[in-house]
This record gives sequence, C-alpha cells and structure tokens, in this order.
Amino acid sequence: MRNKIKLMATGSAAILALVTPALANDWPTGPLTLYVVSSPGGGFDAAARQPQPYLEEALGVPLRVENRPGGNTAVATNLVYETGDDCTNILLTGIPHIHFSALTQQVNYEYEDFYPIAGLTSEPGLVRVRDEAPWQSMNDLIEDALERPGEITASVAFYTNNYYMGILDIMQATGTDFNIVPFGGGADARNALLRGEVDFTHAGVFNSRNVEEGTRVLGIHYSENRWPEITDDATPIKDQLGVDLDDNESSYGVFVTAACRENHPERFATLVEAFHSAKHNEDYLAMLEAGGELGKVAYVDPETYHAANLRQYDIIAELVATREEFTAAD
Amino acid sequence: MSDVIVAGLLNVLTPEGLLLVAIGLLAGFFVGVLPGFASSNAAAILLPFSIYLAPESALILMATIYAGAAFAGAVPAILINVPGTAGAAATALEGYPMTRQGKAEFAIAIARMASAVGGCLATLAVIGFLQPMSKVALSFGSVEMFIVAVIGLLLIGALVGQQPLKALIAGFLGMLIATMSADPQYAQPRLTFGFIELYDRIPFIPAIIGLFGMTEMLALASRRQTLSAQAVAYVAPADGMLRRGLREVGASFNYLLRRPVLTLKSTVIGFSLGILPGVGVTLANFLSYAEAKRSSPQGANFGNGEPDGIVATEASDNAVTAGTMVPTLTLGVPGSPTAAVMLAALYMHGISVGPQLMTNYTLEAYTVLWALFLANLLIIPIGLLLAGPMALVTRLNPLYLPPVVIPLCLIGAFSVRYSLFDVWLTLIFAALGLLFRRFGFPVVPLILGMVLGPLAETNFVRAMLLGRGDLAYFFRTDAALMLWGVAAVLLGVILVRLFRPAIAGSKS
Repeated sequence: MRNKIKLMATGSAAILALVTPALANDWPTGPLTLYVVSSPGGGFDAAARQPQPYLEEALGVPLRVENRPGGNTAVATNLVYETGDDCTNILLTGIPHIHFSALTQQVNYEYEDFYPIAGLTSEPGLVRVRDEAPWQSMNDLIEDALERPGEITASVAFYTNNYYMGILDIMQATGTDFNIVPFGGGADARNALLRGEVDFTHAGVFNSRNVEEGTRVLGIHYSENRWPEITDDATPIKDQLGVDLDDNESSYGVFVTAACRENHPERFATLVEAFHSAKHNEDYLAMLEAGGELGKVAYVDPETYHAANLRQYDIIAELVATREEFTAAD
Repeated sequence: MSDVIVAGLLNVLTPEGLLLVAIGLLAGFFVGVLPGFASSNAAAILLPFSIYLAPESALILMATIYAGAAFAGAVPAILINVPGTAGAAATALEGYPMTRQGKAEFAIAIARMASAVGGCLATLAVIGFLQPMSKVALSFGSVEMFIVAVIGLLLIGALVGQQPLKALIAGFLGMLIATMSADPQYAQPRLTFGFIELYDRIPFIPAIIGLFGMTEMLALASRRQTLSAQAVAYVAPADGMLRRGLREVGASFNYLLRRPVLTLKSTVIGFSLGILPGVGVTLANFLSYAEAKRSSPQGANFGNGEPDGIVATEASDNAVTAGTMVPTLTLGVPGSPTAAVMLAALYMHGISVGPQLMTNYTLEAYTVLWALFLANLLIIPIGLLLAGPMALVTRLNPLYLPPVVIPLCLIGAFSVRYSLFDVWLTLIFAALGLLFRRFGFPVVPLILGMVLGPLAETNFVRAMLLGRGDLAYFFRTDAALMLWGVAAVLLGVILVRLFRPAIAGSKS
C-alpha cells in the first residue's frame, strides 16, 4: 500500500513537472488588477481606463481597474509593493510622483522596488498666462520678475510634481524669484489662473487645454514644440531666454514589483507585450485622436523608461535634500 | 441656446432615455440605501460598460444614479440611524427620532418630497442659468472659500443648544481629528502615526457610519423594544401600503407647501454650495440644517424629530447634486466624486472636458441636466413604491437588527476604499460615538469640525501664500467683503443669543 502511494506521488510529481511550464506560458489564467493612484476621474484614471478594453483583448483575461486614492499616491503604491510579487497586481502611477513619494514620505518602498512595464503617456510642461497679461514673451515675464522679486505668483498642483520643478529650473537659470503656490490639484491650479488668483501657471501641454479659452501659452518647457496647434505655436522657453533648461515633462507609466520581474520573467514579458500591443491598437489610437489627446501617447519600452526614471530620481533626490519645503519638517 | 435646451429634453423623452433614467434611479436607490456604498462607486462600476453606450446615455445613467442615491441615503438614516450616504448624516438627526415616535413613513415621505422639490428646482436653475453660474463658481478663490468655512464654523453656534461648552469641545475635537493628515502645503504627515491611509485625512464615510449607525446599533442591542413602539398601531394591517403611501405623499406635499421659505432657502443653500468645488454635500446639508434650526419657529424641537429639519437637509441634498453639475460641465472640475466619474466617462469617449465642453457638446450637457430633472421628479412615484416595504424594518425585533446592520455598516465602510483600515476606523468612531452619548456631547459639532477644519486650513494657508502674508489680501474682492458681512451678521446674532439671558438676568 505504501509503495502504491509512493508510486502515485512520484507519478503526480512527474505530471506536475511536465505541466508547470505549460501553465506558466499560459499565464495569465485569471483576472489581473491595475491599481490607479487617484480617484475616478482625472488624468491617472483616464490613462488606465482608456486602454483597458484593448489591454483585456491583448491579455485574454479581465483587467480590473481599481482606484486606490490616498497618501498622495502612496496608498496604491504601497498596496502593489506588498501584494504584487506574483505579477497579478499592477500599478499605474506617474514620474516624478513615485520618486517624491519614496523620497519624502514615510513609506517602506524605494523606486527600485518597482520596475516599469511601459511608459504610457508624456505631458511636457509649458507656461500659460491669461489673455490680458502684460507679457508677450518669456523675456517680458523674466524682465518684470527681475524688477519685482517674489511679487509674481505662479500656481502648480503640488510641490511634489514636475511643474514645480520646472519653475525652480527657470528661477535658477534666470535669477528670478517667483511666489509659487500649490493648489492641491491640476484643475484647481489652472482655474486659479483663470480667476486671476495667480499671474501664470506651469502646467502640461495637454492637461492645460481645458483653460485654453481665456489664456495663452508663453513658452514651452521642452527643447522643441511638437504641438504648435494646441500651444499657440509658442517657442521653447530655453530658446526665448537663451539659457540652458532641461526638458520638463511628467509621464504616466505602469509598474510591477521588481520581485515580479525577477521571479516571473515570463509573466513580466507577457505584460510588456500586452501593453505594447494595446498602446498600438488602432481603435484605441482613433479614440484618442477624436478627443485631441493622441499627442500625449508616448509608449516607452521598459528598459528605456527605467533608465530615464533613474536619471530623474537622482535629480529629485538632490532637490529634496536641498530645498527648504522638503527639509523643513526634518 | 433655447433650441438646444429643448433638444436636450427631447433626447431624454425617448423610450431609451426614459428607460435609462428609470434604471439609473433604481440603481441609485439600491446603492443609496446601502451604508457606505456611494453613488460614485456604482458609477465607477459602470465605467467599463459605458464605453459601449453613447456618451449621453452613459451620463444619463450616472446622473440618475446620483439623484436616486441622494434621496435613498435618507431611508436608512431615518429608519435605523445609519446614513446611507454622507449627505444623509444630517437627516438622521431628525428622521430617526421620528421613526422612534412611530412616524417613519411620514419622515420618509417628507424626505422624498423635499428631495424631489429641491432637486427639481435646483436643476431647473442650472438649466436656465448654466453659463452665468459657472462664472460664480470660478470666482470663488481661496479667500472666499476660507470665509465660507468661517461662516460654517459660526453656524456651529446655531447648533450649540443648551450645552455650549460641550459643543465647543466637540467642534474642536472634530477639527483636531481633521488635522490627522499630510499638511496641505508641504505634504508632511501630522498625527498620522505612520499610517499612510491617514495622509488624505480621516475618510468621512467610515467616520459617520461609526458615529451614527454603529453607535445606534450597539445602543439598540441594549434596548428590548422595537424601533418604534407605536409603529404597529400606526400601520393598520387592513390598510393598503400603497394607499397609505399616497396619503403620505399628499401630507408631505401639504407640509412643504406650508413651508415655502424653508424649502426654497434650503434649496438655495444646497445649490449655492454645490456649485463650489470642494465644499461637499455634508457641509451643505449641515449648514442648511443649522440655518433651519436657527430660523424655524420649531427650533427648540430640533433633535427630537422635527420634520422641518428633514426638509432642510433633503432639499439641500438633492440641490447639491444639481449644483455640482455647474463646475463639472462648465469648468471640467468635478463637484463631487460621482461627477468625477462622469468626467472619466467623457474621457473614455474621447471627449475633452473643461470650458470647451459647453461649446462642443452643449446638447449632451443639457441632456444630462434634463435626465437629472426627470430623475428628481420620479423620486416621488418610484420612492413611494420602494419606501413602504422598507419601513417595515421598524417593526422588527431590535435583537434581529444589529446582527444584520453591523456587518452591513462594516462592509459599507470597507467598500469606500476596499480598506480594512477603514473598518477599524469605523469601530473607533463607534466607540467615540458611545462615549459622546454616555457623557452628553453633541455629535454634530464634531462632524462640522471634521468637515470645516480642512476647508478652512487649506484655503487660509493658500491665501496667506497668495497674499505673501498680507492680511489685507483677505478683503480685496467684492465677494469676499460680502461674505465677511454675512459672517459678521451671524457672529452678532450668536453673541446676542448667548448674552441675552445674562443681560436680562442682570436687569431683573
């Protein structure tokens, strides 16, 4: 009897050994979850939900989009950090959001605990003023700012986003001093410009289109203006001012844990392929084109995106170590 | 413009439009009666399916869910003291005492009629004056929002009642609890004890579920009588439920007719605060309640089952839903979580939101508004059919209620963010609620402190940054001066009320 059991156990193990690689190749066999770092509505949520049907088509299983707002993106990030090692839980967040979260919040994760599946969208920065503003160019604005240090006010969504970093870059390059006020959200920061609470806003090429009526673009914070039709054909700021400025952009990307990539390389490869396929789906691109948002799609492969993210991490780490707004609480 | 308004109405009055309104309203009723399960959750669940619908159809569904939930949240608040939605928290203050007096069906009828009237009037106002109102919404900056918060804090004075010290302590405790978050400027954690779940402040739904529903269920378990001892006698078995319901519709209509000023004022408060993004339905309803208590001849009866309180909160509640459509449709700024999901649905259809929405998609916008109007109107008949059977809960043995309602409360708290942390938070607030009852502290100032603290702090800090520390910045616009005037008058009224007895006493 004992021999029979041993024989059955050995046979089962052999069958399992044969089947397991096949199962691994068939992954995913059940639903996956894409966790979004913000509430329903808004940029992050749209970036997840717009490609969702096409991702499901590519993966062959349901992909649930779940919002886990809170903690200034930390709640969702921590959730995937803790539960994502089998690759079924994926994170949609932004750069530099995840860097600021790791560097300035009391969290357990580091950026290197994650690895990107893909960069999905890119949002270059720009400077927008009201139609009736006295400045016709960035030179006018800087000249005025040099005469009135600290008096010209700018709005940004948070101190922890790339638009804030963009203004700091301009200040450093030109010796100006702006009064930068965070509004707790991009829409609020842009509406503050419309209502005249601030003199200018540093915002995204695409996300600031909702205030294009009543405002105009003074300059693009990017090396070239690839979006002239939606940015009043504004000249890049560095060219207007003749100074050296890094390209300013935020990006939304999808990430898994580094452990997922290391322990399940075949699953990681499946996800990379699915996102690549969905982001190039013709129906998906047609839908974005209809909404005038096609330009923000910027698929970046994992390795390139990871390398760029690491470079930006170093810049932000230096900023966090030196700026008063990040060191004040220490 | 009038052509497109009429075209929007005709869009809704198609068989498909009416069917969507009815489905959305029923779905809204369903999620509204479940504590914690907000209309935004239901709308978010619909999002993946909405891509297969025309944009206006998806929006009709979501808007009607919103309206249905706004009323239905009052039903569990009235019947078992468990607000189904954040907006129904104030309704529980009068509705539940009415249930305990055997007047549950009348309380629900009042809530239903006030919701319908407030919602319809406010939606008509939005339809008629959408563009000018968007300018009002846009004009409220940090200073004006700070003064709104100050006015709200002053209105706590109207709710102080007989124990001003306890009310003040409760209000300050609420504000202290509200500081448990990352600070609004530098995002550095304060009193979060290492919990990242607290970075965005104490979530409100678990707090009110704990303070109201859980506390009540625990208290109920210690009482051995039905919710309403008189309820069995009140509902004659031979009398048809529908006929009785119809009678209540007539009675509630007459009740509102006799209170045109209260109904209109509550609608205006809800609507006005609804168009300001970030204010929220809870504050609007409590302010409406406070104003009703302050101005009503029955003010002394508030807290003991006063129907005027239900009129105030429910008319305001549904007016808020209409008001939130103004920033949502004209500025692309969601006036509520449900409105945020509606914007997400537009994104998914490739429609860019913002001021240009009213230029490019005017018909869709007015279609949604008419759907909201119709949903508010249909609250009366559909609510009538559903509310009667729900009222039967008042005749259950109370020992059967806590085992059912407590798990429902905890599931509701969990469902907001799918977070076990929120379940623990609900239990903590339940314990706090029991302590408040035991020592006679009022719970409303605590809630208002939690709502108003962050609103005041965020906007004060931002205004100080904008004004570069100059206090004159708080007085620079006409709107700010007008709001300061309102605050000054309120302060005067409160001071007179507080010191009148002392002055009268010294003279005598």
